Amino acid sequence: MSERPGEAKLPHLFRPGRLGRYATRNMIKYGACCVSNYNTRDGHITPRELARTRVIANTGCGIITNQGAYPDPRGEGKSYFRMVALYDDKFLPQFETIAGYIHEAGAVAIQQILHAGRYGGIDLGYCVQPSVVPQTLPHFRPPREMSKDDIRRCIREHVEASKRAIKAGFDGVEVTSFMGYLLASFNSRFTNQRTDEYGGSLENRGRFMRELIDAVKQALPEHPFVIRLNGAELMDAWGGNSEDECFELMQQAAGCGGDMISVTVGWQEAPESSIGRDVAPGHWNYLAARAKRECPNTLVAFGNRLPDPRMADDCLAKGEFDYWEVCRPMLADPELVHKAAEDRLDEVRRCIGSLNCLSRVFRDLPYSCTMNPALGHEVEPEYAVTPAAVKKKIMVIGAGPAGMEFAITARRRGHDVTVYDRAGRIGGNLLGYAARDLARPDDLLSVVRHYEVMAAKLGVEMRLNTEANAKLMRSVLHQYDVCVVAAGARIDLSAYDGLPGRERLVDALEVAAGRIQPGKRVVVIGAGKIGLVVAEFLKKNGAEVTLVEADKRIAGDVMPTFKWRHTAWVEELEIPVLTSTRLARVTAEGAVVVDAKGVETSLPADTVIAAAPRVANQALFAEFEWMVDELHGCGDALMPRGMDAAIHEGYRLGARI
Amino acid sequence: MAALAQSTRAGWQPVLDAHAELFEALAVDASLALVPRWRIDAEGQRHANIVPRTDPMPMQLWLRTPLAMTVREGVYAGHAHLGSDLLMLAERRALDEALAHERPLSELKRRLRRGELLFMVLRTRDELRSRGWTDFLEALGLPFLGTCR
Repeated sequence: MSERPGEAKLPHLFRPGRLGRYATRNMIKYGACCVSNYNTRDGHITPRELARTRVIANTGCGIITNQGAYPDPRGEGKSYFRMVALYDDKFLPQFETIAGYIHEAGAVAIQQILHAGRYGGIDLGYCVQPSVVPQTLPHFRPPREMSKDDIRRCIREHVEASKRAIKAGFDGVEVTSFMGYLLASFNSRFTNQRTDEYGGSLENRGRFMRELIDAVKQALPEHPFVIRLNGAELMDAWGGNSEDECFELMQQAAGCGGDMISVTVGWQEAPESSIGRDVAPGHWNYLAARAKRECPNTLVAFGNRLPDPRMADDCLAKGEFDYWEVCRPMLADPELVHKAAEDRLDEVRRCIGSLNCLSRVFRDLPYSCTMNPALGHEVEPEYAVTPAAVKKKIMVIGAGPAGMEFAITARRRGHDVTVYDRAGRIGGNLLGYAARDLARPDDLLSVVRHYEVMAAKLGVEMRLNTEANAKLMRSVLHQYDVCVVAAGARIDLSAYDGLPGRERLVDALEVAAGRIQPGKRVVVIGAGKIGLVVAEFLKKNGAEVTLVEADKRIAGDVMPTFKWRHTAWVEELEIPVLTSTRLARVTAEGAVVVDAKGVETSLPADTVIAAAPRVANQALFAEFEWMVDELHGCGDALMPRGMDAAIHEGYRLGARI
Repeated sequence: MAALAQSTRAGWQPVLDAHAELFEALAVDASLALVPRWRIDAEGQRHANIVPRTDPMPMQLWLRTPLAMTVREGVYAGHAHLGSDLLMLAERRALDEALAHERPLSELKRRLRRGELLFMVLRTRDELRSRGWTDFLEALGLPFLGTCR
């Protein structure tokens, strides 16, 4: 294939490489970032998974790592609800299919063997560990100590699973010694309290890992062996390994003949974040650079919180690591590598680090992606974007994520699409929300920029600064075949009708959009995501803020993997929170609130902001019902939820209209 | 820890009383043990108190009685012998310093994140839920800790 225009701009990423005896067409490794939960409860791969892996195989990566399979028939290594297994030949046919997909696409195929150890035993009610160290998270199972016989058996099972992967057609295997999984728990001072030859010194703690690498290498000397290791556990405050110890363990792994070290960050139970959008891209690169310095003769793959191909190319140029290992950004956009190669990076849908994928996996659900509504539905033709049988003229009311997702999807199918919005810019309520976000506004604003770019490239007509109402509809009567109402949601101030001082209440979305400047003392009513974002932003910028929430807990509508972030910010910013408390009245002096026991409290404030409840903007449905052939709705205009539902509904409607 | 247990025992009771709503749903006899993070052996070596059995040492116990969450004293000899649902291992002075804060429970949470306190669960998630710990665990942000975020 001749060089594509973007490849010259990212020459280090797109140069050929080599893993053992296998040539790779570029320096990009698709990482086995987390299991999909698309498979059967007993470990068999489903057609849904096969359709998904076909997409993965065609991402354009030089190396593709298939998601982790547990190696033992007992299920002690099984950590996820619908995880795939590789402890028996009965699983081979689907693995053969996947290896075939990867080879057809011209990539090197690696199968990950994942024994979750401390996080395993999902169906058993216990997990296995080097020592009986209790869990720090309620999510996981009580521990049992592994005997030396257990260790020997576990090594045999890894060898057998590895041989099975090669038999299925994979070129090499990857073993997991990171994130608190089995080998990592032996490596760590925190979980390994043993007094035999597998515990104590770092040399002893790494023994299980070294024996396992050695056994697999002896069984499969011609095949590349990859091991995933932590550059930092982020567990040192709790008694885990220091970074220095992590790198000594890497040297042990390299010394045993590991062909590639995949450097990762953090344990699942670590008290700090590693891959969420509150972590700056590039933050962890120093760990990969150190791995390369300390293990110069072993390939190093890395990609934690490194979503941008340009940054990765720069790291490769500096020799910080050898392969850019990337997964989550390609959940968001499976075309990422191709867009980079074709110099179309402006079209990339960025992973925004919302970690919807993991939120769902830890609820035992199949993973999905906020930014990629088709993820996990590749097997369903209904989710494919295909040319429309009948080309229609479509008007969309609302340029937020739901409306824009619908617009670009429908346009890709050949429809003629015009979007109306009263604001002067694409984005809807997301614009104000993103601008006030403490984590990383650029991530959320990238969603807006993506829609701006794609609307322009695809030829979606934008009518901004245009209020959609019956008058507008009459002016365009019979010009459109379809109207899609994606007008979002608003704060329902009518919920406060009859409340003394109601006229003094201020709308949180107006504050978020910057149209209202609150005073220095603020009370925010409603500690859902809008109230939290506004409160955190105002407090960060010097206001005195109190949050009032009618529910028992705050952040009720926040994604599970980000809930902790808001509760931590509220604590760090020392924002007082009154839960199980309602607004009683608003006065010139502030807010009077009443708790569940009926006790009133006066909260002095210059501004009282209503951030709840929310209500869907549905008025246009009734107004337009007899004015257009087809009338549809999507996103918060149907029911207030969030960006995830907005994007997914916009896409689904666009794909079938 | 003996000093810690003595000095903070009386101090924590009003804190638990002030947050009674977090413990309302608890089963009677549900408890959380607070023990020192480390023990020092005869050779002066420091060991984490996370092993199943250890030499007896004083601990503080937050025990749900029929009336309320109550602070008690107890003896800790390793988690294998502990009947508690939850275990909190504290660095020296961490509990006292949290108690001295204007909002002790919030401070506890901050110190938990900083690693000065280590929180461990001694029952399964379902058992903890059925014994009424959900509100307290959510208040500490525990279900949402973890690097997968």
